[in-house]
Amino acid sequence: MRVRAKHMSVPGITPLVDVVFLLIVFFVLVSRVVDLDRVRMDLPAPDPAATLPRDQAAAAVVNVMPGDAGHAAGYRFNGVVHGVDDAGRASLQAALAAEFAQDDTTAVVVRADRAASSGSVLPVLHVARRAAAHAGLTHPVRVELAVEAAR
Amino acid sequence: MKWSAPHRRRSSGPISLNIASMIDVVFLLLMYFMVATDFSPAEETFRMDLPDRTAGSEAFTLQDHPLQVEVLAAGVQAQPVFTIAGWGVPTGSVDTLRGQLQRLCGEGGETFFLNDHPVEILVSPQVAWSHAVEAFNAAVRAGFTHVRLDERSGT
Repeated sequence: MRVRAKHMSVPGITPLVDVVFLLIVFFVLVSRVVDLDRVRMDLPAPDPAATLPRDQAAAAVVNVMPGDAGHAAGYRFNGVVHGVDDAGRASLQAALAAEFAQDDTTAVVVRADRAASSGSVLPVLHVARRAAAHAGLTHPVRVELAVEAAR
Repeated sequence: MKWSAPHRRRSSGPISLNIASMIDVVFLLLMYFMVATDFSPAEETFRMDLPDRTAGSEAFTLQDHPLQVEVLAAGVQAQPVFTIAGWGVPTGSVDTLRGQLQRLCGEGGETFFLNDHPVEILVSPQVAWSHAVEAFNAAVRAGFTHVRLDERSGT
């Protein structure tokens, strides 16, 4: 003979809490909080790459914003998008020079989409060189080309 | 007027912990991590030093004329063509380029350059950035330690 429960049955939430905690632990382990300096784009991914992990030195991250047909839509640095024309490059140069004046060991990290034309990326190197000269750096400026890490 | 002490009601059943608020907080944490998590792939970098040209201190080329690798764009699709100026046969394959550079670098029998000999990657503006980076990678993998990238003039 089956005995019926007199009260309404309440579903146990213990397994639910367990799963939620497991999810939280998972996200804590895998998460890297979104870095606003790094615009989402498809970086070049040479395979196998002879690259190095980013060191902890100060970095000025310059994003070459993808535009139409491989052209750059602008250069984003410190949340400001500088134009690709002469005025934009001059303002980027001034911003980088200010960065070098604060810390002369600052490395310039160049991030560009893999489909971007080199003609839209290489001016950043010239701008960095001129900014270093303008800031009075006595040593070569360190430039880092960002690529996708091998999986 | 008669004041009486507040009557404290005693629970008759066993003491239980109310975990509803904890679950609320846990769900909020879960939401935060789901929104803030960035699943974009990790980044690594190629490093190079840009010498100052304006002051006439071209330290990069004081000792040796750099080994120049040209990356040109061919055809409508701007396919890359890699050429080691004066040394190699033009190739469209970055693996072939790396092989040619490896034969020129290091301590092997065909070595013509020490691994600290400067290498200059001269890139045509039409070439896709990924091909320029691949040429840079080929030079680094071949063993050269002083590699730099620049725009090819006259294109």
